[in-house]
Amino acid sequence: MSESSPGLVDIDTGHEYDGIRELDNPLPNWWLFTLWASIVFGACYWLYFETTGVGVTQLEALALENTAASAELASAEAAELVTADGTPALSLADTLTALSHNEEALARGKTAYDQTCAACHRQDGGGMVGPNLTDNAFIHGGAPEQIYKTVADGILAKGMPAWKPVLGPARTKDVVAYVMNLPQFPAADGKAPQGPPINEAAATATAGTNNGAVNGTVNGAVDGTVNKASDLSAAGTDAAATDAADTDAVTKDNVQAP
Amino acid sequence: MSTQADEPSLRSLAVINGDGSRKHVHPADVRGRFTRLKPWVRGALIAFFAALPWIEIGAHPAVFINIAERRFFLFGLVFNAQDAPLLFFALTGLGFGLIFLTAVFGRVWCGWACPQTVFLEGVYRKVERMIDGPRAMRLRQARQPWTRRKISRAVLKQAIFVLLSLSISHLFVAYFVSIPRLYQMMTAAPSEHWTTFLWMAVIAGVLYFNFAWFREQLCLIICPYGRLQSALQDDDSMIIGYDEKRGEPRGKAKNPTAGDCVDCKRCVVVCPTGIDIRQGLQMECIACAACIDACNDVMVKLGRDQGLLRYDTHRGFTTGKRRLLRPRLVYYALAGLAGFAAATIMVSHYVPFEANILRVQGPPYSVTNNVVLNQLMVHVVNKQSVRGAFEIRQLYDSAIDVVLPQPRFELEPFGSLQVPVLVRVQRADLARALKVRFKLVETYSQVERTISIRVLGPPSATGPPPSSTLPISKRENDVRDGGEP
Repeated sequence: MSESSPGLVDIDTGHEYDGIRELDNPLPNWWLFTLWASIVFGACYWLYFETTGVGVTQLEALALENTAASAELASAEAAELVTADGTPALSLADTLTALSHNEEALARGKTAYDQTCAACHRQDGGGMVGPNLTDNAFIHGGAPEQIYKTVADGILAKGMPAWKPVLGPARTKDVVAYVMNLPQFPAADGKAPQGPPINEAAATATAGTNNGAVNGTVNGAVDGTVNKASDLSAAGTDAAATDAADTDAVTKDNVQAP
Repeated sequence: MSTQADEPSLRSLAVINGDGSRKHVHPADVRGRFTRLKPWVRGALIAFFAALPWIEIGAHPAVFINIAERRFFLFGLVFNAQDAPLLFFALTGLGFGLIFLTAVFGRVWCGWACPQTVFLEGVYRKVERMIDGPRAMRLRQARQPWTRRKISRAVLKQAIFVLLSLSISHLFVAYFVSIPRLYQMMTAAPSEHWTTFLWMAVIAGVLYFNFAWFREQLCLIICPYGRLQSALQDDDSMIIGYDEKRGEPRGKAKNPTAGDCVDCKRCVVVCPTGIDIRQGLQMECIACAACIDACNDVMVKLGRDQGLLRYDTHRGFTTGKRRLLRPRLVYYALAGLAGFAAATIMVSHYVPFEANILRVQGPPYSVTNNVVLNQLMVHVVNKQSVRGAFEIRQLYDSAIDVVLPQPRFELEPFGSLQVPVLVRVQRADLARALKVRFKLVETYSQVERTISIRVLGPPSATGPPPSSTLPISKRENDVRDGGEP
């Protein structure tokens, strides 16, 4: 092909790779423009972010946003301690008591209860895997802050999960408020009371300020099923599921069989 | 430069002058078989591109790449971020399919299907031709000073280019936000959706710059696929070339000793990348076949055979022989089929829900009266755009006692739920590794999926049964941290 390309001598760099020769042609002007523009941009960037410190680097921006977020979270938690009429800084117990008289909070609490708690405590609170919530006995204490602690942190040894990480602080309080009202509606065929009874005076006080929000929720139609292992033998699926090959490495959060 | 400025040569790009400035290409009009076919191919491709976001399959656009929610709707199937491997294999199959086609047919993609060529030659250049006239007029106008007439034409042309770029940009954005949402955004103020508006504006700007000014520079200097194809082709790949044996030596039509090429340079003036195809296969050639039509037109007028410029292989031009089958085709085909096969297997095993077993926060197990308790959450995500009804069943293991308080539940479209599960085993049974297994069934479709997790217990479980010499096991509600977060 070189015969059809006369005058290569002046631009041939003498570099040859696998028969491909490098020619020293001028670069397109637009290409050179992008090169010089990048160099200028790089210098400005370096001055702005690294030298003068005027610019906020990504790490600094992250730190700023984290600070702002934790401040916002703190103020949000503080705001939760304010009742609807704006009275500030209630204690946890007072907040929960206030919420247990707040229809909106109770409606939110019922929604969360039906989704998370009803599985073990039955929809009417009569108890199943978990204890009866409609009697006056609370194993881990029936005071508002005690119920809150039980729900928020769980009783891990007995199978009660910690719900605050799942529900978040606000919904946890709503659920506790809902649960605080449950003893007013004893379930017809609930489990036998367990644990010490709560203060009779406190119970009557709560009953006196009962409001209608929870009335419709108490009925006995529950179809929670306790699937004991023996129930499932009829399903007839690999009875002897032994995985001897398992090592400690398989303590991941989710292990999926194909 | 020693060569004449107007003559394309192999020593430099035909579209860059010796001083580095652009030499704009003004391809001449051409008529012929391939030119007649092109509007249909390009029209079909543009219609396909424009129609896809409008077509609804299963209440969702045929193609909707919802990046914000990491959810992808492809022809009725819904994919989530978890399905990324499927996309990988499908793209692998498509990619090697394209590579296979390149090895057989050369750069047909560039000349016939690439959006750059389809929009540049099929839309923008057509507008330019309508406003500025044929090649001779465009060349003359380029040399003229800026008269009022030239300015008004330029303004009209650039305004149409901007409108076209905005339209294509909006259609492109619709693939990512869906048509109803796009319409909603178009009727609202840009300040209500800055990010999308900025994307749209930047894409429109890039399209305008590319199609109004940058043009063939993209193919020649930027496009990696154009260069990659050089490595995929061999002497038996289809190219557009010049039959040197028949055409040389070039001469006047009346010269009896000359070859068939009359050196009319029609093939050069119609070329959108400004090369002379008679100098052989060059990396600038996008295989658009304009030169074939131009040359055939001349040959017919001269009463000579068509095909002095034609689709053929390098071996075909030099020896007259062609060979289709060669090793690289087998490699490319196998790689492409592997990708398609993997994607097909994944689609056939596609489960419309996601199910994982999670451990609850806190200690991974607790021990009470030699009974080890594990608390789990079955996390179920409904990946369908319709409600799903689910059932969890334990796969029986005599050593494992499972409490499933909520074995049946329904989920909204794309809804998710964490279902608590308690697992109890005798401490002594943990001497062997125990795995609790569940089958999750979507009851409408009867699609099922098996999930499992290891039952965790104290390390001493592998030793002799705990005795009273181990004080810690005597305590009620003994909770021990197994070191898992």
